[in-house]
Amino acid sequence: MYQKHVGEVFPQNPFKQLELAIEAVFKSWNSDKAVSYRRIEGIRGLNGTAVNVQSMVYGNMGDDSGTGVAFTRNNATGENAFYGEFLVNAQGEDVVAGIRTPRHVDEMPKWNKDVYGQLLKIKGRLEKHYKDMQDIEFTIERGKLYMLQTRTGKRSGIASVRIACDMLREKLIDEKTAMLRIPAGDLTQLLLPSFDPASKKKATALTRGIPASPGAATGKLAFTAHEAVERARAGEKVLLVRSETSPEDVEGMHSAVGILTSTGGRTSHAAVVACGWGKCCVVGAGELNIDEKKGTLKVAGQTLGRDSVVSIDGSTGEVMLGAISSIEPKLSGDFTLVMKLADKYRTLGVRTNADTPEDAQRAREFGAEGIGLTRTEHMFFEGDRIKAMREMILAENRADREKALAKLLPYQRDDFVGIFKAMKGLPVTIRLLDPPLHEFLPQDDATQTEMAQMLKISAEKVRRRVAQLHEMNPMLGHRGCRLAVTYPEILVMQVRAIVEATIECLRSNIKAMPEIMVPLIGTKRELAALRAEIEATIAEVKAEQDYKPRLDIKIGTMIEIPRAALTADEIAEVAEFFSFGTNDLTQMTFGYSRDDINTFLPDYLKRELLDHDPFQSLDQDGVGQLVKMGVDKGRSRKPELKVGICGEHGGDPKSVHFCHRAGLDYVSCSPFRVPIARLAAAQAAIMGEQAAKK
Amino acid sequence: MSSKGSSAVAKRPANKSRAGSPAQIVEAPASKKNGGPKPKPGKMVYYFGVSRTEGNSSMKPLLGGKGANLAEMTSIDLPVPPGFTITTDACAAYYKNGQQLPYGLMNEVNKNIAVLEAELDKKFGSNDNPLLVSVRSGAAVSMPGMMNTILNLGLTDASVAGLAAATSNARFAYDAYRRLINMFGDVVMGVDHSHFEEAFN
Repeated sequence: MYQKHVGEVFPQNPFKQLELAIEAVFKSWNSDKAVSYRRIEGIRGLNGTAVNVQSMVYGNMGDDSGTGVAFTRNNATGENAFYGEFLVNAQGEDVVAGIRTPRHVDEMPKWNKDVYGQLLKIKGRLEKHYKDMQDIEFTIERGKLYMLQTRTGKRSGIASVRIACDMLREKLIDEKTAMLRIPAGDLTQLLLPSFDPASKKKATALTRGIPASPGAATGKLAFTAHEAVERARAGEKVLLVRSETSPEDVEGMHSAVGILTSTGGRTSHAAVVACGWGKCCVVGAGELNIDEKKGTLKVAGQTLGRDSVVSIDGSTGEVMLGAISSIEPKLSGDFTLVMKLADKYRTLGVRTNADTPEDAQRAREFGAEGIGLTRTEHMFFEGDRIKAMREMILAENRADREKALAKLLPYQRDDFVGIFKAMKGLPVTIRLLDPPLHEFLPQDDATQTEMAQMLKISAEKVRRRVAQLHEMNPMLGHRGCRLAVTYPEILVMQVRAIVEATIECLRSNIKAMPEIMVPLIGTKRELAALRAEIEATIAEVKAEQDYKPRLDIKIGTMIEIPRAALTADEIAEVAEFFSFGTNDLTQMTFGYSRDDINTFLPDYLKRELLDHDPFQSLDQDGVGQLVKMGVDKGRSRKPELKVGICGEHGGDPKSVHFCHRAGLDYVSCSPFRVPIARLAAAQAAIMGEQAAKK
Repeated sequence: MSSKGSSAVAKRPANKSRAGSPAQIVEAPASKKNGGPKPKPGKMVYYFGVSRTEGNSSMKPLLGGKGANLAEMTSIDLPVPPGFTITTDACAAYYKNGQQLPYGLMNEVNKNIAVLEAELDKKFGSNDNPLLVSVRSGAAVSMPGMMNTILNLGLTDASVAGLAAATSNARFAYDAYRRLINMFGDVVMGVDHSHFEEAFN
């Protein structure tokens, strides 16, 4: 038989068998499936496989034999209870093949009390020796127990917190080890709802997008922001489906239980905004065919409508048909302990990105030590504000612009008062207007006409202005500090709102600590000129308000253009702080448009031309050099310069480690990532200390 | 095993990092990079058993996760069937060599088989209670189900009778031989299982 298919006799010399088997294992290292597994799992830099030649023991020698696998503690909940399964009269391979249903280890005493006792003893010895939860394989041959494998057990985020805290209390490990045992990114599982695995298993998968903001959401489809707002108001749970979102959609996004888009990456508008709110979001699901007008969504051969229920998993990017039940997070005492220890060991500050008092409050509860980035543009979209904003943009002269701006001033001031109150006693970095103005104007004919009627001007004029504002490359166009250069009145209004809000708070004994941040600076002269205008406005408002005490408002800049990093020493002369905007800095260092990376990034990752998405985890070799250079050059001229980071990277554990090593004062991230950043910062400090000792 | 069960066993073959969690990135072996535990130059085989144990859990880059921990468990007196581990360096040398086993490897392997024979008082290929071994892969990072495993190696037309006699279980012995030929054909020679299953049935 063997001979017929193989063409030679089955080797009767065992040494020959062994030689061929060793070679076969070596060969399997480079089999197609092994190579693609390593690629998918991001496993790199390995030498090859080892080969283990071990004397056989048999679990299939009768009813006094068996085999099994177990975790020394529950790998899902972390509970300190033996957790695993075994099969009587079977070989390990039968277990994996799934031919028979195994029994829970709790039932083992009924089968063989002695073996169970031995196994429990081994569990204790293994944990005492390895000081961690183990994942074991064992075989029982005629009543005698043999261990075939042990390794550190993989576990859920919830289990990792519980096991670290339990082992700390059991004095198996010390505090630092406990800190290092918890993958910082897995803390998300403790903070956001997740799908019930059993319910999720039954769901029909439709497609998969990029997981942009973790969590679990189920709702009926809404195709426009307006529709989402209306239906949510009527009590429906809706999932907002858009090809991509724009700042105009913010209210609809807020009303929806989750957001799903067919284009855009992790730093697209939808992703950044949703992540800031801790709202479940999947972006860039390219297989979705969305017809906004008809209200249909075609995917996986199905046509879905407004009444279709869809579920999205923001942790995996999965899009599924139908409702899936979810589990609400419960913050345990162990979580509090982990955060307490993290604060004890970290040296890096952790702030948050927050645009509203609610976000600020939530972030404060998560332990944020200030706001590293308040984006003011989101404040211009709500309700009546967008009207005044559009009036300002359509105005043809400075006087008209100032009139429109005067309408915005009270809104903006109240927003700042709200945030200062929420963050009292903690610094709040406010970024002046950053996006290009065309983002505030409607792009389609119907809305443009509607807007013209509202503003009592001709539709033609609106269209002309939209056309005028059109840019070939808006990310490199008229935005950031360039707006303040051409329209100083915008800067003046914003600074006025900040100062008035500060004085109002200070007068009612609320310790407001604003920091004014100018975006997109590339040269010292740019910042010096704008700084002069900011200082003049501060002085003017102080005089108007008759406010005599010293007003400590720091003025600084984003470092997000490579030129700013290269000339950071000069820029530091006119800045009290730097905040690295690593989204833009990455974009401009690589020359990748972050809104268009979906078209090529997947191929770069597949062909291993890049190790990871540089917008998700900071490119330490390239962009990181600019950050280091910016810090070093800046501090060489101004040793007391405060330096932080406010890109999405601020909540990515690996990037946090880098920021610690680069000597930054703080990282700033979305509220739900604050605990992750606190833990990652502690781990960076502990690992740095351990590396220094070696 | 139940396909719908949320059992630990059922989960095992998919024992990899959960979707959404950051990919595992493994640095180059410590033994090369920063001189961790220093292996003896040229040594390609590490024994674990009562006679001696040459590896430990810090040698994962060289011995793979499974091999390093088998050595570690042996050295803390847990009941581990004795055996030996061929290093990942030997695997690298195999590829460097144009897919030829490195010179001297089989010599070292055979010496270790002799130690194993002495420890268990069994003989490889003997028709009287023969020594049988498993041959399994094991990289520094777990890659479940991705590489090959062969069980019951050492059985031959003659020794299978020896196994039947030693266990007084002929059915068991011939079943083991069937599994070996089956796995060997599949893994070593690349012949589809079904041909063997048909014939044995």
